[in-house]
Amino acid sequence: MAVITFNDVKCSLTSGTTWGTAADDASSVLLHFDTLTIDDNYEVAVIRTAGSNSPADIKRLGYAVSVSGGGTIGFNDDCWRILGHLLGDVAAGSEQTSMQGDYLHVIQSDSSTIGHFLTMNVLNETDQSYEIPSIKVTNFDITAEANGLFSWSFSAVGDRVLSSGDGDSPTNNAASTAALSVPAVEKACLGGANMYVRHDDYSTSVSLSSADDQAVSSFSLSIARPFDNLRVTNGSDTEEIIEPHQTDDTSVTLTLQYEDLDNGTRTLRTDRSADTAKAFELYVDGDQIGSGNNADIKIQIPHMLTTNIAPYNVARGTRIREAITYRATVPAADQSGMANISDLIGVSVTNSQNTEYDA
Amino acid sequence: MSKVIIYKLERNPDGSVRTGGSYKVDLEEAKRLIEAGEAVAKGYAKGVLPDEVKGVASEPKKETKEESEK
Repeated sequence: MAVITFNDVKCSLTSGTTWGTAADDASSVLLHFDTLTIDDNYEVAVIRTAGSNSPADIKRLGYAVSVSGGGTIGFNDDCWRILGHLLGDVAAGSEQTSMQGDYLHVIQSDSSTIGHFLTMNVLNETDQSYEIPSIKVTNFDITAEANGLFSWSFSAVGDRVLSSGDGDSPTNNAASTAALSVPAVEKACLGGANMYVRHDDYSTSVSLSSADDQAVSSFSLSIARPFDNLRVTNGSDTEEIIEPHQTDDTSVTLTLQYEDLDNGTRTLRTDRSADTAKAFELYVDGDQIGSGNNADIKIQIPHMLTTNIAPYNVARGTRIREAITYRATVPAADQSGMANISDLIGVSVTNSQNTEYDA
Repeated sequence: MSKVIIYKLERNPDGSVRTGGSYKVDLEEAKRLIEAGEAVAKGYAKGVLPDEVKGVASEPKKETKEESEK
């Protein structure tokens, strides 16, 4: 046994098939991450007794497990698996150029994510690990500033934590997870010759083009699904939650930070008052894969409406800025150029990983 | 006429090619775009005609040729 430092911490994510039953991570890869928090605690009831201010007992009740974390986005990172399980509609990677290993992954939102959950195994010593048999992803955020790296963060709820060091017998162990490969590191940057952030009015006949490119200093995308947290009488597993089901609408919000208020083309307040829907697309690329396509990331929202314009709030010494928040809604018909996206959002990633991000 | 989803191929400013926007087009239009190298079929590599698109070939001779290439 040896203590490990953060840079040695290894974590695998594997798509599960039965809630509460861990999936074998033998075919997984290690997750690149900067932070990871696992919180496993029981709800407790303090048992009082008559005639005393001193608790007589503490009764353990439901088991509550949550996971959160994040890092900077790399084209090949397994963070796409987390996003895939939150969005719910994932196609197997398809090679774009024969024999070059440039796989296009199309990840889209679906109304429901029932059946989408992951097994997580995290090393806490060189020969010990925490295994969470099932986690359900509830949130995924992506942010970036111009010429900066993309950051991602997520949160999830889990069923329980198995600790090999405490005598549990998890499906995955430290040795098997430690032996997994690490996807090639290539970080995405909101900069470079081929990058763009563009939006224009939603249209079934006019696609977004370079004429719609926007000058923004930062963008922030937030995807959230509210889930219940339910336990049922189920023998020895009663204290653990059953697979969470969605209890309210999916929220996909996008915030763009503009640094020029009067560029002559945007009509932010008019768009809001007229309920003018917008289509949005962000694209960044990386190195060429073999002699095929470049690695790339494309985020597309076919139909979104303005929900918030940040308050006019200036102070001496600062630039006068304007931040707009949009929320995605389902398009009645396909936005031109986004025919494959029939729900709220689509994220396409080209990388060298021959995998399916929800399998 | 049934339609299929294709991804147009677009050119980046530096000359590299990216998989661009997705469009629902008629089978014959999909076939023309894919054979011209201007698009890829959903889930397929460049230059590959999926069965659903190949099925519209109206010239038996062409189908025979494709079969012989396999």
